This record gives sequence, structure tokens and C-alpha cells, in this order.
Amino acid sequence: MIRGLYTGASAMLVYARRQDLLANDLANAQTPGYRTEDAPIRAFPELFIHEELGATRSPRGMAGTGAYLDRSYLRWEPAPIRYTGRELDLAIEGDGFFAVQTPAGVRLTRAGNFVIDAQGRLATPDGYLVLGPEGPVQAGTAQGAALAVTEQGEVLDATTGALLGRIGLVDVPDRQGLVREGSNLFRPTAESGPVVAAAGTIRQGMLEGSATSVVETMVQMIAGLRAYQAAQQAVRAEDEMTGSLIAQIGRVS
Amino acid sequence: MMRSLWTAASGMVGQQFTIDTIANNLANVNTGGFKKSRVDFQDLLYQTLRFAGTPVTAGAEIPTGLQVGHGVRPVATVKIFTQGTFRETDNPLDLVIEGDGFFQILMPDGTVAYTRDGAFKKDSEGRLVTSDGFALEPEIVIPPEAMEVSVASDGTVSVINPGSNEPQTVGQLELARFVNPAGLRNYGRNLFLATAASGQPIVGQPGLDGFGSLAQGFLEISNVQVVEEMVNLILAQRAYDANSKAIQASDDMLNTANNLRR
Repeated sequence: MIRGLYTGASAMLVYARRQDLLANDLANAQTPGYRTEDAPIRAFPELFIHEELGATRSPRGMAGTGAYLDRSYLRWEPAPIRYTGRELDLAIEGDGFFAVQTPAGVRLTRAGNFVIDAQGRLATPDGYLVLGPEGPVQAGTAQGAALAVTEQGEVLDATTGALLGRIGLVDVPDRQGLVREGSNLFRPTAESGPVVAAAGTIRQGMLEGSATSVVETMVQMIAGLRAYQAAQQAVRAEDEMTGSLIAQIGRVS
Repeated sequence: MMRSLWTAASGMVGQQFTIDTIANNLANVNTGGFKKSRVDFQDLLYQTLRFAGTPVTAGAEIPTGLQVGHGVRPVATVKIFTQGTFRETDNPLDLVIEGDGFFQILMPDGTVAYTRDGAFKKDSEGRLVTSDGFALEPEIVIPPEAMEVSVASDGTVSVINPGSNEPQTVGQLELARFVNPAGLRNYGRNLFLATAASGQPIVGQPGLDGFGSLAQGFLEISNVQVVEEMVNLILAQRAYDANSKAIQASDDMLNTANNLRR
């Protein structure tokens, strides 16, 4: 009897948490390089129900005990790339990340909306330096001339053709092991494996958008809301049944 | 309560900020020397509910953790310094910079500001000034008797005096450039100020060393593309709508939870 109450409540908690994840996807519908996250709902272990008849136990079947979320998967489908025409917008076509130097160590990002700092180095809008095979990437000419970035990541002075710096794309063996830190950054961990060079190509003047599909997220949100309401009805039904049990069977006279 | 309420609220605030920026771009669609801005977003901090790599049984561990994000924040308004469109005006004191560089303007407090807006005027002493009356730096004075003013592509300003066919040089215009023009601060009045992020100005002669050359009788209007702004406006408004739906859904869920007990 009461078991069903907890089962319904576990479903409500699951859909409330999924709503948190979906709201974050929607809030980041315009964040460059954003990746959505999927949290599959998992069933609690099932119980095998017996009926005790004196010394013998007669099986009555399986009973589920609810649902929970215990992991979320980053979805690595490519996000749409759009043309911006800005020379410091770089998109990665194919696999790979830009490596970024933060005070806490090297982080990975797909957001290519870069800026140049006062020393002429390529940086994120937060001021973290973009790394290449030879360290921070020089991208500022003393004259501030136009820049050209090749598909292989060479940063050239567009007027003279001189090589200023080199951007290196990196990747990890297992992307599911990356941890999101916010600020469009991913942290490599022991699960993800060490950072290695990647084979993707760079497109200048393009920017990768967010991987959020508003339609898909809205549909999931509606489905989640209805599942939440259905679970609430189940909890109420359990409550009403318990209520009648107490009110009717427990009546003395 | 539910995180999603605040998460979606951060999305709405962020999109509102985008619309503010787009409105400013559109309002300045005909402003001389105006450079459009774009809002760049970042995702906020993540709460890790379960760490990846947590052992579940001997020899097995969770391959991926469970993380919940908390929304979005605008991180930068990036100024985009592409060339604006040119408009022919035939006014000899209207100048455009074809290429990189800024005109230097001496502010009343003695500091120097920078502009791409070349709609200069003469003041009562014959100095070239902006529409606000701030003088061009270095100062160019047009003699009162001068008949015709011409500005060469290298910035040489010359005039024809009455009774003479020889042009007389009265000044030399200089331009300033920055390593990181996107780091300049908007001052309003079509002016930019240097910051630590933009780097120190590099001053030089137009047409040399990568500085843009000058053209007389033209004005540079803003680089705002109305179609692009309109598309961005639609995107921002729809993202705003979607986030408001997330708030509604979260609200409905809270309402459902409140109705558990009649």
C-alpha cells in the first residue's frame, strides 16, 4: 500500500530534476559551443513479491519501486555553425576543442568567440589565453592588421602573410569523462584521459552556436510536466486509498 | 525550490540583454562611425550531484556523473569593427578611413578620444572639430581666406589661397590604431576611449604601415546590418519565450506538488 506512495514520489523527484536540466538547456539556447545534457531515467531494482502461506512461500510476481537519475550524458552531436564575418570568431568543423589556459589548469572549449588581449594574444572573453602547440597564440600585429586563420590553425597577418602563431585543436579519448565547469569550459579528468591533438579543422568568421534544440527541449518539458502530474495523481490515489482504509475499516462501531 | 525557475530566469534576463543590445544597434543604424555590438554568453556554474568515477561495486565505477547547470550569463559585449558602408556627401570636410585606424579627438579635459566618424566642421577659429566642437588632434586650422580645402589620401590637408594656383599645405592628419580595438570603451558621441585591454594607441600617417587611407567627400555610416539584427531579434525573442515556458512548466510542477494534499 504505502510502497506505491514512495514510487510515485520518486517519479516526481525525477521529473523535477529533469526539468532543471531542460531549463538549463533552454537558458543556454544562445550560448556558443554549448552542449546539451541527457539524463536517462533508471528504474529502481524490482522486488520479487512472495505470499507467505504457513511454512511455504508462494511467488506473486515482480513489483517495481520507482525511478531515479544517477548520471547525465553530454550529447556531442554537432551544433549549428553560423557565419558572423568577425575575424576572431573561429568554429571547429569536426572533432576537437580549443585548449584554454585558466588559473586552475588547461580547459577545453568549443566556443570560438575569441578576443585579443592588450599583449596581442588570443583569449576568451574571460581573458583566458588560447593555447597552441607552442603555448599562447600570438594574434596581434603591432599594427593591428587584418588576421587570417587557416584551417590548420595557423594565424597569419593577412597583409604580409607572416606567421604570427598557431592554434592547436585538442581532444580526449573519452569525452563522457569531461566535467563541465561553466563559462563554456570543460575540464579533462582521469576518466576522460589525457589531452591529445585532434584532427578537426578551423573555420574563420564562423561561430558554433548552442546545441540546444528548442523544439525538442519544449517537447521533453511538456512530456516531463505531464509525467510529473500523472505521478502526482498516483500519489493522491494512494493517499485516498490509505485515507479510506483508516476511515472505514478502522471504524469501531 | 526548483532550480529550473532561476535557471530559466537567467535565460530570460540574458535574452533581455541581447534585445537591449540589438535595440541600440538598430537605433544607431545611420550613426556615423558606429560599430555594432554583439552579446556573448557563457553557461553558469554546474552543481555536481554525483561524481564521475565514483566506485559502485568492486571494479566498477560510474562512467559519467550527474551535473545540473544553473543557467546562463552574458559575458561580453563584443564590438565588431568591420568597415561600415560609405556614403558620398560631396562635403569637403567629410572624411572616411578606408581601412584600419581612428581619428584622434582632443577632449575638453585634455585626454584623447578616438572616432571613426569623419563628419568634421570648422569652428570660429577655422579649426577642424567634431559635431560636438571637440578639436581634431593634431590640430588642423583652415585659414579664413582659403577657398578650397583638399585632403589627400595620406592625410595632407592643403588649401588654395585667393590669387594663387599653388595648393598650400596647412596640416597633416594622423590616425591611431590599437592592437585590440575590441577592448576600446564606448564613450558615446561616436567616441571611443583607450583602455588597458585595447593597448596603447599606435599613431601614424594614413596610407602607410597598414593604416587606412583617407577619402574626402564621403562619410562612414554604421556597420549595422538590419537583416542580421532582425534575425538576431527573432532568435532572442523566441529564446526568451522558450525560457518563459520553462518557468511556466516549473510553476505548474510546483502547483502540482502543492495539490498533493487536498
